[in-house]
Parts: sequence; C-alpha cells; structure tokens
Amino acid sequence: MDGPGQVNIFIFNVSNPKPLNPSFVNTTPMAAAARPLVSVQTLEGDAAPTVPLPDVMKASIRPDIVNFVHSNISRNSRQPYAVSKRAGHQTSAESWGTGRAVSRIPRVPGGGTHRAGQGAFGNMCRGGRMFAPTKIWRRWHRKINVQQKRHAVVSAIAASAIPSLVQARGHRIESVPELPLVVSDTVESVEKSKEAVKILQKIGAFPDAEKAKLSHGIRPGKGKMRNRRHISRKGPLIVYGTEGAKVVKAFRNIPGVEVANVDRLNLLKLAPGGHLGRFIIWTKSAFEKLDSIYGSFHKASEKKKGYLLPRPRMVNSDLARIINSDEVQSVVRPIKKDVKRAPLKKNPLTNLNAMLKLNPYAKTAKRMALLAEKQRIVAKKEKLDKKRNIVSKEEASAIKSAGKSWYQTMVSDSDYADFDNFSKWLGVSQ
Amino acid sequence: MAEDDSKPLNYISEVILKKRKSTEAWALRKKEQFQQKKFQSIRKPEDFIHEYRNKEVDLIRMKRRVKRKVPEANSNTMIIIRIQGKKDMHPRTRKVLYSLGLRRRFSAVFVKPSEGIMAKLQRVEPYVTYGYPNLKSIKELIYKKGHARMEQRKVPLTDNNIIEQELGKFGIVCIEDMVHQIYNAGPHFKEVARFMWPFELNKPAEGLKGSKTIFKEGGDTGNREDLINELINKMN
Repeated sequence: MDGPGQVNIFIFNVSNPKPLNPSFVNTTPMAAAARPLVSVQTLEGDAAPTVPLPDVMKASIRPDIVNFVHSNISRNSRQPYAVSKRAGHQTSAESWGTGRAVSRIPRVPGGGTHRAGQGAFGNMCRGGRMFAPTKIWRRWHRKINVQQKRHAVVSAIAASAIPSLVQARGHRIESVPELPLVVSDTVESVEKSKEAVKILQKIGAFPDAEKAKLSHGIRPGKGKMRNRRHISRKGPLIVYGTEGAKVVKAFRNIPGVEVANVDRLNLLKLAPGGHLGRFIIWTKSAFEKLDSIYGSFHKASEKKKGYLLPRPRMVNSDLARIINSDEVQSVVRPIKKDVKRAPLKKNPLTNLNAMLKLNPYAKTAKRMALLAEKQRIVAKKEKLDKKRNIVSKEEASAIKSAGKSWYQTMVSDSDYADFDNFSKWLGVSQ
Repeated sequence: MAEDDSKPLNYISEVILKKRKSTEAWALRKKEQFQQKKFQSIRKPEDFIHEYRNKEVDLIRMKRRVKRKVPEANSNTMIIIRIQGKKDMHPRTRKVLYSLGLRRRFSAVFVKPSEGIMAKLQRVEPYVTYGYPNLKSIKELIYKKGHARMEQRKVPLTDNNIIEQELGKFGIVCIEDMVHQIYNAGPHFKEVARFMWPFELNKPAEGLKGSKTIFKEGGDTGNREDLINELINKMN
C-alpha cells in the first residue's frame, strides 16, 4: 500500500467504447431465434463475443410488488427486543397517603439519601417504569408468498436493464458502454482488489463506486447508537455464476461494491430500499444462467418449480399509437364526409311552395277560384239590389209627377153639377 | 364602445326556439310516461286470462259473422281505417288485418271493393271502419300523408320524380294522376294503391268512442258510407 495522504490516479484506455443502446431493451417479445444480443466486455483487446438477452430482462416491472416484498423481507432479519420486565419495579416504594401535603405517588422508603422519598413506579417518575412496557412477543417476521418474491426479483432484474431507471436511482453510468453490462468470465478468477479496481475502471463502472465511497457519513438520528452509525450510497453489484469464485474476495472490500451469486439473487441487493434500478455487472456465465434460472414467457424455469415469467395483459398499452398505426389505418373504412339527409316533408295543403312542387296547376286553380269568388260576390250583390227595388232618380221624379197629375184629375173630376159626370165614371152608356 | 364595428346581432329565429321548446316539453312528457310505465310493467294472472278469453271470443264471433251475407259496396273506391285492436285480437284476425296493409292503429289504405275485399272486411269488422271517400278527402290524404314504398322503405312524396320513376310505365307521372286513379278506380288502381305506404293518421280528438259496435247502430266500426269523410277530416 502507498503511504497515507498519497493519491494514486489510475489512467487506462477503455477498449471498445460503445454508446448506450437503449432501443433493444424496449422491444416487444420476439421469437427465441431473433432475440437481441448483448456484447460481452472483454478485458483484453479481442473481438467482443455476444450473448442473447434473457427473457427475464423483458419482464414487466412492478414497483408495487417490489416495494411490498422488500418491506416484508427486511422485517425477517429482525431480532426480538423489549425493555426489562423488572425495569422501574426494583424498589419497595409505598405511598405516604394523604395528609402530608405531597401527591399520593408511591415513594421510596428509607432516609439519608436523596433517593429517599422520591416518587417511584409511575411512568412519570424518574426511575419509574415506562408506560405499557414493550414485550418480546411481537409480530417480528412476515410470511411472503414464493410467487411474489420471484416476481419481485424478476422485476428488479428487468429494471436493471433500463438505463433511465438505473440513472434515476442515482448510479453513475455515463462511462458504461452498454446496459445490461456483461463482462467476460476472466473476471471471476481475479484475486486482488487492486486488479478488481482496474477492471472497474476499464469497464467504466468505477465512477459509481467512487461516488459510493465519497458519500460515507454519519447517520442522522438515533441509529448512531443502535449499531447503524455510518451511511453511504450503493455502488455496482457484481453477479458471478461460478460457485467458489475468487471474485468475491476481490470485490467485496471495495466501498459500495457488492457481490452476489446468480443462483441466490437477493432482492435487498437488487433493489435496495425497495427502489428499482440497481447497477448490475454480470459475468458471462452468470448472464447465460438467467434463462435456466427464471425461464421465459412460454417455458417454465428449470430451477424454480413451475415458475413462468409474468406477462402483461397488453404487450403494448399505447392505444393511440396502435390505432394510428399503418396496419390499422390501412384496413379501416375512410371517414364518411357527405352525410345524406332525407328532405323535410312539408304539408302541401298549407305550404304553397310544396303544393306547387307537386301540382303546378294549383296556382292557376287558386287564381281561378279567387276570380270566381269575386264574380260570385258581384252577382250576389246585383241580385240583392234587384230584390230591394231600388229605383233611380229619374224614375223617382217620373213617379212623383205621375202622382201629381193623378191628384189633379181627381180634384177636377169631383166638381160635378149634373148626372153626366157620374155616368162617365160608371162607364154606363145610355 | 363607439369604436367597435357595428355587426348584426346573433339571434336564433323564433321558429327554432319554438321547436326547441316543444321538443323539450315532449321529452319531459315522454320521460314521465316512461316512469309511470315502469310500474305498470308487472302483469297479473288475471290480465293473461282476460287476454286469452278475449282472443277466443273474438275467434268465435268471427266464425259466426262469416256465416252471414257478405256486405256490398256502392262505390268504386273505398278507404279502410283500422281504429282498434291490440291484444284482444285472435292471431287469425290480425293476419287478415296485415293482409289488408293495416299494421298499425289509425292506419288507412285505399281499396277497390271486390267480393274478396268485402269478405275480409267482414272478418275484421270490429276493428276497422270504412266508407266511400270523396275527391277532397282523397286529395288531401295523398298530398299531406302520402308516402311511397320504395325497396321496403318509406319515402315521402315530396317530388313528382319519385312517382315518375316508379309509375311512369303506366302513364302516371305526377301526384294528380295518382289522385285520379284512386278516385275513379282507374285501370292502374292496384299499382297506385300498392305504391303508396299505408297512411298513418292521427288519433281524432273526438269522433271515436272506442266501441266495437257497427256505426249504423251507434258504434264506431263498419261501413260509414259518405260519413267517413268527416272522420278523415278529423284524422288528417
């Protein structure tokens, strides 16, 4: 080791740097023969082999299940604790009763010390017992369904393959060539932490470990005195596939770095705190084992009995995108733009225009009817005038003069002197 | 405000407002009727017994009526109006009504009275009334409520082209020709009568008592002869 205070800077050229390729992680499930491929990062400068992406990386992500299972799993490592059942009761205190100008709390007997006469037993007294003393018979642990635990682990693995989720969790993956990050199996035979650090730097994972190291600090709150004094961030998680590999000792003492076997993945490491998106570094053998450990969407797992990956009800839940896709739009009927509406039927008996449409002669008939009506009125008037005997002015004067002449005749004829006049009247000729 | 451009006020014509008001009133009334109808949807066994007995009695009476002499008609043209009949008819009676084209209450058809038609009318006498329409009644009915039957669809007679397309081969090109054929029982009466959808008349405010007795005896049904024109005027 170098002396204290001396800073070592490791500078290496990263071989085969590749930009992030997030498109494949969002593809829909395809046939096994056409699965996307992931590059294996080699430590030497050789050509990079590829491995197919396991189906577990494409499972649906359920934050609700992960949070629930994580909460319950973390309860299962608790140990019972309680206050001593004798605490606050190790005295023979008795109340002094009334009449002494003090409260009736039990008081310590004896004399000569400050303790004598002090209150005891009660929860408000110094040295008394607590209210409702805690007991060891609590519900410390939780039962979790096996299927739920498996779904949670699968969700966490799938989330670790999405760069945005990993970055959102706070990991530094800007220098990482690809996610999920797979390294060759030579990493499993590394024995020295010095070499492990070089490997982390080569694959671009060291900034995340460094961030975890720099975040070391004192815990706020009472956890300091409860064996939880220091806190720090989480760094990358190394997942190896070979039992007894030496990589465990090489990496485990690097701050922030954790190690796990692929056969025994722990949800508390895959999703610390119940938050998805842990930065995982897989070895090639570990990555290839994922298919047999967790199975696929259509084939059951070989290690976990009867387990199939959870499938969403809809592969693509973007309904607007489905509707507007070319496959759908090419078969739907085009929009009917011209709406044909039946003409409104008017009443021809009251609506003249509607009548003329059906019967153009109606206009002529109506006119003739009006003229005939007028003629009839005139004819009726003439007939009535005749019956009322209305005479003209000339006729009236003629009638008047005739009356006068007749009157004169009567006056003259009445002057008779002899019989001849009467004979003329009677018409007798003698 | 004075600088604003003067524009005509946006207004809704009175006809539309009146129509809207009546539509809303109609919707409210319909809703109330529907709510009342819900309670009446429970039918009791007495209702079924009553219904089935009515049907049986109807059949018996029809069989008796058929034995009488077939009535005669004194006109070239006749109009038949269905005024009754819902659940109290025997299916055989209803079938006769359907063959005459009277599928709804207050529907009417023009027929040329023949012995077959008169025999049918004898069978369905309690549910129809018929008579001899005059020119005014025929004209007003066809002009106001005339509908054409085109490919089993009901098309209102709003244009003479509709008539010319269907009846042009018989020399009937306008609605007046139809009226002429119906009134005079012309050679193409049958084609014209079939071309027209049965008239759907209104329920008269008065003039029908709901009786199944013959009109001559003070009821509603049977032959009204020339007095059918008054009823048509009320129902048009």
